[in-house]
Amino acid sequence: MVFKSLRGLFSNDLSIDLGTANTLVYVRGQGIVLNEPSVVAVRMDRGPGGPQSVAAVGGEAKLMLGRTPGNIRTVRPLKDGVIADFNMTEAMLQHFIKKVHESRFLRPSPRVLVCVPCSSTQVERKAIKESAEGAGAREVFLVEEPMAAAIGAGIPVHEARGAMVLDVGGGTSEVAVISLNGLVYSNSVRVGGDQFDDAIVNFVRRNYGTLIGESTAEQIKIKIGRAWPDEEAEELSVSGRNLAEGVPRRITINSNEVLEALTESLASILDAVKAALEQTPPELCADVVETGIVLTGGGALLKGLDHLISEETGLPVFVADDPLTCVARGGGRALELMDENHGDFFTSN
Amino acid sequence: MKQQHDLIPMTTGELLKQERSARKLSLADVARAINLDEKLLDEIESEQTTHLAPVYLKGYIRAYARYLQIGEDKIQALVSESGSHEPPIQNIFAAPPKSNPLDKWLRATSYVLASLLIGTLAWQFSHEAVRLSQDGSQLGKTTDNRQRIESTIKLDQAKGIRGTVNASIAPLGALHGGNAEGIDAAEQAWAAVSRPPVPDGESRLKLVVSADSWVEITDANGQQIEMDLLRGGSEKGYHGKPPFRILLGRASAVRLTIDGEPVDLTGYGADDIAQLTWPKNLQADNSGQDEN
Repeated sequence: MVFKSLRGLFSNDLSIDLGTANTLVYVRGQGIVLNEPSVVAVRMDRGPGGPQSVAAVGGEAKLMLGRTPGNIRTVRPLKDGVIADFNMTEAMLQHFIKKVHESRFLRPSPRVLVCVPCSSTQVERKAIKESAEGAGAREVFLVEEPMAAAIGAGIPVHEARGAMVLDVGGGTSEVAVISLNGLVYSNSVRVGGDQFDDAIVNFVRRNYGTLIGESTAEQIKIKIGRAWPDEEAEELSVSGRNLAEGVPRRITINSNEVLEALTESLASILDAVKAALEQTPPELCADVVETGIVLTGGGALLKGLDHLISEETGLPVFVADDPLTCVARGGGRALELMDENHGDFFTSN
Repeated sequence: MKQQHDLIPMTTGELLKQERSARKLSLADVARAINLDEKLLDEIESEQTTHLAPVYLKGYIRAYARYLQIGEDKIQALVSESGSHEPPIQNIFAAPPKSNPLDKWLRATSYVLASLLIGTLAWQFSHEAVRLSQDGSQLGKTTDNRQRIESTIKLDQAKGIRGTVNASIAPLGALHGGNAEGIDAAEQAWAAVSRPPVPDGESRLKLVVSADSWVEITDANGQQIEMDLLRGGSEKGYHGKPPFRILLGRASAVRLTIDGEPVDLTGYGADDIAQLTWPKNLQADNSGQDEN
C-alpha cells in the first residue's frame, strides 16, 4: 500500500473514456493524450486453446481487424459500453496507462476516473472498477457518461437550470437531464456507432448482395453518412464480396441510401430523446426548451443528426465543440474538481 | 458612412442582423425555422449574451448562421469570435494546473532535501543509540564492582570480625579488577588490619571449604597443623614454617591461599585428591632427598 502511494507520486491522474469503439485518456494538466480504438489482438501460442499473449493493442490491433491468421484473433473487449472480456480489458487498460506515462523507472499507479454508461448494472460497474485496479490504478472513481459529457461540453452543470445532453457513443446512446451537479433523468439505449455500421453492412448485403467488412461500413458512415437528406446526394465506391458470385466486386453507394440504412437506429435514439422529454419534470423541461439539446460523442459527427432531432422535437439542437473527446475531457475536469466538490459528480458505486 | 463601416469591423450580432435583413427575413421567421426563442435571437443580434454559457451561444450562432446560408469558414470565424468575448469554458471550473518546469525542479529538490533530512536523522539516531549502549555497559560495570566490594564487606562482618573496612585502604585494583582480585585484595587488607603478625619465617595458610573435605597439613618441622574433616562452608586459617605438605581429600571443594597467594590445585593428583608440597621447588628437592 505504501509502495503504491510512492508510485503514485510519479503517476498522473487519468480520466479514461472506456468506450466500445475508442478509448480516450485525458491526463490531468495535459489534456487528451491518447485516442485509440478499443481493440486487442491476442496471439494464441501453440495453436488455438493454448496460452494467450497480447500481440497488439489500440490502433495497431485495429489494423489487424478481419485480417488475422489462425493463431491471432482480434477482440473488442467492450460491448454495448460494458466489459465483455474482463482479462482483455485489463490488458488494454494496462497498456494505455503505461503508454501515457513516460517514466519507465516505476510502474505507474495513478488515480483513475472511468466513465460508465448510466444504465450499467452494479456488476458491470464493479467489473470496470476491478479491471482498472488490476491495470495498476491506485484509486478508481466512476462517473456517469452523460455527466462527464456535459462537463466536457462546457454546460454549466452546477446551475439550478435544466440542461439536456445526448451522448451518442460507439455502443450506447445516453440521454440525460442535468441540474445542480446531478442527473435528474438519464436513460441509455444500446444503439450507437457500431449499430450504424451493422445497419450499413446489412443494407448493402440486402440491396447489393455484397458482403462488406466492419471497417468498410465505418468508412461509408464517416464519409457519406447522413441523418437528414441533403439536396445533393454524395456517392462512394467500396469493395465487397459478391454473395452470388463469390468474387470481390466494387459497388457505389450514395448518401440517401445510407440514410435509409440508418433510419431504424436513428428512430431508437429519437424515441429515447422523446421519452426523456416526457419524463423530465416540467420546470426543467421548460429550461430544456429554452436552452436546447447538446450533442456529444462520436455519433454526433453524423451529418444532420442535430437537424433531425431538432425537426422531430421542435427544440434547438447543436453539436458541442470536439464532441468525440467531450466525455474524456469532462472526466478530466471532474477529476480536477474532485477535491473541491468532495466527489459530487461521482456515482454511488 | 460606408467608409466608417469599412474601418470598424462588424460584430457577430451586426453581421447576422445584416444578413437577415438582406434576405428580408423577420426574427420570427428565423426563430420558427431553427426552433429558437425570438427573444434569444434578438439578444444575439444586440450582443447581450452574457447570461448564456459559451457552449449554448456557439450552438445558437452556428444554427442561425447556417440558416442564413453563411459559408462554413465564416461561421467558424463568427463562433470563435463570439467565444473570445465570453469567458472560456475552463473558467467555469477550476483551471487545470499548468506544468511549469520550475515546479518540476522544485519538486525534485524537495524530494532530495527530504531524503537527506531523513538520512541525517536516521544516522544521528543510530549513532546516539550506540553511544548510549556503551555508556550503559560501563555504568553497569562500575555498579557491579561496587556491589561486590559491599558484599565482601558484609561477608567479613558476618564472620564476627568487628570493625569496618574502609574501601579507601583496599588496593586500587579492588575497585577496578575482576571478582577474585577484588575479594582477595579486600581480604588482604582485612588481614593486615585485624590479624596479629605471623612470626618471621612462617607462612599463613587459609582454607575455604565449600563441601566436606579431608585435610592434612604438615609443616617443615613435621608437625601436623591440621588433620581433620573440614565441613562445607567453613573457613580456617593456620600458620607454620614452610615447606608444607598438604593433602586435600576433595580438592575441587577447597580454596587454598598461602600468604595471600591463591594456590592452584589442579594437576596435583588424580580423582579430585590433591597431594602437594608448597613451595613447589621444595617439593622437587624433598622428593629428590626421599629418593636418595
